[in-house]
Amino acid sequence: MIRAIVTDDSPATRRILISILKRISIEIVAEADNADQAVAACLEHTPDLMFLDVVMPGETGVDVLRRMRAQESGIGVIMVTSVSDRDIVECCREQGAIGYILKPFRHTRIVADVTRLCVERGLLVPPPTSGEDPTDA
Amino acid sequence: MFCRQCGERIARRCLCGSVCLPTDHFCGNCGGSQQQEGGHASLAGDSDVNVDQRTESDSRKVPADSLTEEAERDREHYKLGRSQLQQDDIDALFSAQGEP
Repeated sequence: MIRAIVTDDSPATRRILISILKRISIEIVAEADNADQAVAACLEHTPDLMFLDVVMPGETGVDVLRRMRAQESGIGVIMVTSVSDRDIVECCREQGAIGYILKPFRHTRIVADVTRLCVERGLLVPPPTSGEDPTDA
Repeated sequence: MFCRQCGERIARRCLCGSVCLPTDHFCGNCGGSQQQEGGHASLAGDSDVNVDQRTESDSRKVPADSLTEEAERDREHYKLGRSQLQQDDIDALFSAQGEP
């Protein structure tokens, strides 16, 4: 099972994101509402994915990304934020984020992006294309 | 808020504005009671979102007003750079990431 951490200072956003992720069989191993909690949770649980907000009290999500990168954690970080500033988006990409989803999001967007990114990272087997019999050897 | 399919209550709003699940005993934001008779949610004057005001295109969004307000606040906070990107621009930026 794919294991993930959700980091957002908004309890409502965390709750909605978690409910979507659980529906696609992603196990939420921890929640965090600030940078320090997020980094500590990553070290403790070594998840496959982390969903990370940018604007949080204290250090930002970009700071978390930098710290995770310095530790070469290998965790796939997907930014989920309302910040659409080009500089911030590019900075997140350069710091190793594998995805960037703008709020307010549609649940179909989360499902599609997470599924695609998991397939790309080898965490999921791609679904069979239409017409292909999945029972074929 | 109620499910458009079955009518089941799927969320309610606390007095503080946060969205809570019907099963929540306390608000995750302010800690206010959500279960007791006359608790925050009912004191809020049955403040569930009126689904009739939502458009069909909104129905698949994660739509809570509080989330939209949070998003606006964050945007204001971080409005500092060259330009604001749309999701499609961001997707293009990230899909080019792995290309040589």
